[in-house]
Amino acid sequence: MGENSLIFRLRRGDKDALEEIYRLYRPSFIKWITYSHKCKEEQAIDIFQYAILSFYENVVDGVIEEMNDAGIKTYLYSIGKNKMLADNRRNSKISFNPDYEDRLLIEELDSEGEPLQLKIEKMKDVIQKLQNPCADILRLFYFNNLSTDEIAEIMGYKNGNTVKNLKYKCIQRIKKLLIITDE
Amino acid sequence: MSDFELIERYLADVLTAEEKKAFRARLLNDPIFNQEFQELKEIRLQVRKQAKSEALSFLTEVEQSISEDKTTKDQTVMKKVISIAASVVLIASLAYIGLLDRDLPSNSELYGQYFNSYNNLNGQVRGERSEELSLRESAMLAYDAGNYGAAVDMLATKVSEAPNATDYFYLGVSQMEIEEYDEAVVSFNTVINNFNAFKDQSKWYLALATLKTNDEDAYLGALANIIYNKSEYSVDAQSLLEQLGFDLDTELMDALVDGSVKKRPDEDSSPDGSQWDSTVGKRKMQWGIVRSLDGLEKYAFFTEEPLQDLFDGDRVLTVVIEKKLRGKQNSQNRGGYGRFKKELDGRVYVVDKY
Repeated sequence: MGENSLIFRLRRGDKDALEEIYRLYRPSFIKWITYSHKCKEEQAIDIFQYAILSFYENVVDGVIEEMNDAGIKTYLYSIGKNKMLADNRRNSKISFNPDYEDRLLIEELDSEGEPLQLKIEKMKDVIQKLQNPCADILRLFYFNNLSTDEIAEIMGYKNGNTVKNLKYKCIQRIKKLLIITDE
Repeated sequence: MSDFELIERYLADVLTAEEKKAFRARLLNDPIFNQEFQELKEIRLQVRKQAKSEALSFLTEVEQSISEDKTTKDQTVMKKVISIAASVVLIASLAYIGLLDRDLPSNSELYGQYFNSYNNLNGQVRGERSEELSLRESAMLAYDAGNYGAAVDMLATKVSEAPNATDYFYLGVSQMEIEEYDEAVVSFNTVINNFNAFKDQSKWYLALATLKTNDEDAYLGALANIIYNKSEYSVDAQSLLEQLGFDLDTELMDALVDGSVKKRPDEDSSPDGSQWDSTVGKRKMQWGIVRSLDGLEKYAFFTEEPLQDLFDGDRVLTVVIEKKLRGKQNSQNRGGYGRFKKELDGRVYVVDKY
């Protein structure tokens, strides 16, 4: 995998790479989808953003490895096309809904009578307000699926162990904040 | 391994099948462990969701900055809104007349309907040498005052000294005002071929200038290009094309190049205008014959933006501009296409190559 390739940078959570990909493929994608599927520009932009995000997710989840320019283009087009067809079938507006996912495989939590939904809302709030370095470390770890060594390299820490310790502290901090907001 | 690490490894899906089995058994039998697990799992989930929604708002920001880049162009929008409103009235009345005598308006009539002077947005001039500054300023003064003859003289001097897109563009519009259409065409082609600024505007005015000189291939090409590229003139271009009696099918059609492809000018020009070669002022064009994938229909094709290495048998994407036997066509045909008309099924504009 080339050091400077967009995919390599994307995997490491490089926002500039995300912007580059967005700007690079936007004109041809919008042109293509508005013409071939006769949709409005607004909808085309929604679909393009969806395609870019799906691409990003697939990169960080390791579904996509190295790919050339034509490959990325084809990939984005196929995501866009499927999304377009699915939306038309459902006749619903685009929404990027990450709400499902792996909660399904988890057993219901019996937590002192507190409704699960309320607990999730609290968690959401705490995560949203998270400061750095915790926010970055947890994102690179849980979303970009990077190892603690890779995170150390990106964030300029001495080694993976430092990151590992920091991450543990961050988690403890979140737990503490959850208890505080409980009161 | 601590419980914390064990749970992280489970969530990262790196445990063996055996370990997973033991892990799940523990979840059922150890409430404290289960709670720890639920919490970590929820943290991980929320961080992922947060990362996604951050990425989405980042993309929205990028999108916004892209549309802000376009606002320079949109300075003309207010003026255009007014002129569009005016042309709606005109179109309505023309359509009414059309009902009476079933005739399409002439090119000159359409030209009169669509041509508006371009609003000079060029009042403030950035740091250039002082003589140039004053020459441009007086040229723009003349332009704004409607003294287009003087503007043409000054702008022509200006571009011969220091070629640039802005002056060529205003030169072209001024030349149209004093009815020097052939000269205007040269000015607009210079902008289109040699510079990056004022491209969309130049294509639109080029379409109008060639409409006036009845160069059908040229104005159809320019209009198709504007519509396909969705520039700010695409709505006007679409309605003009319809009034000319053409029907542009926005559905893309695949086709195969049939026979040799011609291109002019042969050489490629420098896009920044740094080198002046034989392409200056010439219309770029590429043309030939394509047939539909089933081989049953043949079309004349052309494009204003020549594709590199286009050969016999290549697969291309096209927009069908007109089909034969589809009602009445404009009688003012001229140029290359007319000769083949009997053998071909219509005309397409090539937009891309596979």
